[in-house]
Amino acid sequence: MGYFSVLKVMITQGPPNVIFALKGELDLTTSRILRKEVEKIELDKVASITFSLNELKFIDSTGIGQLIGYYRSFAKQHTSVYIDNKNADIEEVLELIGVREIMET
Amino acid sequence: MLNDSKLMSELLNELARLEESETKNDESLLGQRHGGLAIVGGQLLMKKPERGGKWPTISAAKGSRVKIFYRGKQIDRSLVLEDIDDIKFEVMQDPAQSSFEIVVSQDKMEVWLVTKFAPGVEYQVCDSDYTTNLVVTAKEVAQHPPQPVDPALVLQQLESLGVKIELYNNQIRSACYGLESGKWMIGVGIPPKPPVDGRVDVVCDLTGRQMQEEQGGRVDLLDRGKISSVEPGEVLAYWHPPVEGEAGINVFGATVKPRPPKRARLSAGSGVRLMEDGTVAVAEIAGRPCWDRGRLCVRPELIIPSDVDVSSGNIEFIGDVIVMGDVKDSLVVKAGGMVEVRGNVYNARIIAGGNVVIHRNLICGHVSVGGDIGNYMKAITLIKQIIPELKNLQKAFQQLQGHPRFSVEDLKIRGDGYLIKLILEMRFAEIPKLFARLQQLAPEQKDPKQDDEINNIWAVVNHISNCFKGANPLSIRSISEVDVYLKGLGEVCEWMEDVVSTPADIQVSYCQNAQLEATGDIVITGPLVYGCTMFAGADINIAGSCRGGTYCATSNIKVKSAGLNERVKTILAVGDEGSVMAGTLNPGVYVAIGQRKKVIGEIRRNVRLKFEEGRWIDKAGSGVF
Repeated sequence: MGYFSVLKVMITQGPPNVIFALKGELDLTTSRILRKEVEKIELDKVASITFSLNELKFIDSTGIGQLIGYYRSFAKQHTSVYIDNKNADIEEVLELIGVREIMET
Repeated sequence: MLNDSKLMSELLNELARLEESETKNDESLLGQRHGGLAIVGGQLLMKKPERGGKWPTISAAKGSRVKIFYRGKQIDRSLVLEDIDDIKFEVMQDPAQSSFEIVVSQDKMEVWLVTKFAPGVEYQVCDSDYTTNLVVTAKEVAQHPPQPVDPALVLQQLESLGVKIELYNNQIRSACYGLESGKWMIGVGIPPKPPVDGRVDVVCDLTGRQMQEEQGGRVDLLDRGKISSVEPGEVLAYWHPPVEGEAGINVFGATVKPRPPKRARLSAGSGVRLMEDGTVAVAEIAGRPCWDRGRLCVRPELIIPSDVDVSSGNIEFIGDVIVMGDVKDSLVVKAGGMVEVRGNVYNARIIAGGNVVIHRNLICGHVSVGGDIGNYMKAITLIKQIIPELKNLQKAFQQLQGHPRFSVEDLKIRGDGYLIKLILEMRFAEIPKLFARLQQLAPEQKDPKQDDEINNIWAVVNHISNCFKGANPLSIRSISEVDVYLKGLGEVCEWMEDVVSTPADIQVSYCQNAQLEATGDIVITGPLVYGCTMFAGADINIAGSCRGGTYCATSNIKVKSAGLNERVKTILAVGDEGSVMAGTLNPGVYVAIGQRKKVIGEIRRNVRLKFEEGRWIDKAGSGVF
């Protein structure tokens, strides 16, 4: 967490339905790692993007904001964005903020 | 004086010489037969006439200083002389003059020495050659200076007069020896110290109104400024009590009393109380300060004897206002207390803290009493929706702060506003919308005609609303700021509820296309109401018919006849517990009780509609409606 945060982003499934598996901490310091990985994909070949948070240990408001940002920007290009999460603690965070009001599993 | 007599003497001598030369001419004509008289060295000489000649005459020049006596008797006309032995001359002399007089001023506070000095003048008879008609004159031959006055005599006279003050001795001496006539002050008494008159300092404005100049020198003729008014407890005037003077002493040593001081007492009339031993006048009631028969009063009411129009300007008064005439187009009457209009109100604005009574018609006007009830009620509803939502937002934020899988490290850099905005967007999207609706109720600009308190309330509403608009939540540094906003909204709501719950009624005879807002009842006594909008904090009672318009009451609406047909939209709305009573409900009338709405399809008579236990009930009729 904080200055020693680590995030590993793996693409577990390729286009058209891309799945990014996030492991570690998604916060202010690691958000750029996710951004670089997302920027690599070719959107014209992608129908949906799923972020798997099952192995995520921590998230902060920057991380949440980044996921919401992707949801909004890809929605304009008719690409669906989902969150796959079986981690109850992280799910509680998502619900508290209200992410689940717009982003489905 | 001396110069005048000298001049006169010279003139007389000249006259005598002229007469003498004429006589000589006569003699030259008649030869040496006539007799003659001459004066040489002051001695009278005579030459008797020859046979056939004239006897000489003698007379004193008119106004001259010479008196001629014939055999001891003064002659006052020309006398024919036979012999000079019986003639005597007497020449009047001007003796030197030195005198003084003591003068005491009328108030006996000053003593003056008046001196008179005049030099003495010596005259003697003028010489003359032989002449038949001798006119005797005198001439000035010497002057003698006057003698100085003896100061001892002056002091002696002062003593005999009873003057007992310290005298200016140097002045006396110079006056006595100066040989100049004049008036010299030689002593003064000790004047009394004058008293300080009592006075009243009025510190409130009794002048009425002052027109205020706008920017650029423009003057709003309708805005004549506030009528001067005071609040209870406000100091109106101070009385400065009189201070007695101190006695003095006059030139005779007698005590001189000072004049009694003027008291200028402060008298309290109605609405004024004297405090601090009668030295401070304080307003007991709110109203207009004025003088009434020498008494300071506070009048709770302002009476406008005629119309409120361009000549009177807008009326703004802290107490009650009574308008004996009409309130004309575009004028504003604003009162802290009640307003009574004996005439009509035409497209004017009436704002009152208390009841409003309009004896005749209200056409196109706007009357609000007890406050801006319509907006306040809407604002209260919105604030009551916002507050629990904001508390939920705050709770969610705090739960996230303490969550083991949520990091708040980034908020130290970004500020709490970032997360607040996320939560607002995701979960509480209604909050910014509610704030936007609340803000629409607030006036766009500070209304200079409104009280500062009302302006401040709306300023708070605006400020808090802005904080939750658009990207503005990002500028919230700490979640604790939300506490401040919650407290502010609570206070605004409480203030508005206070205003709304203080009942103030409106009573009008007839109204048309007008807007009426009252925290209490609205009562229309006349036969018709047409196209009006009414908000009543309590009941609306319309004795006649109401056709068209919106009529909202928190409690009940009672009307003889509502609506006309489907094309005339008439809305009757009451609160959840309220009822709508109508002699006639025409088709098309829209009835709302709380959130329940109903449109009358066919004419209904003698109804009292309520909504109870989930259904419409006609309490006056068959029951179920």
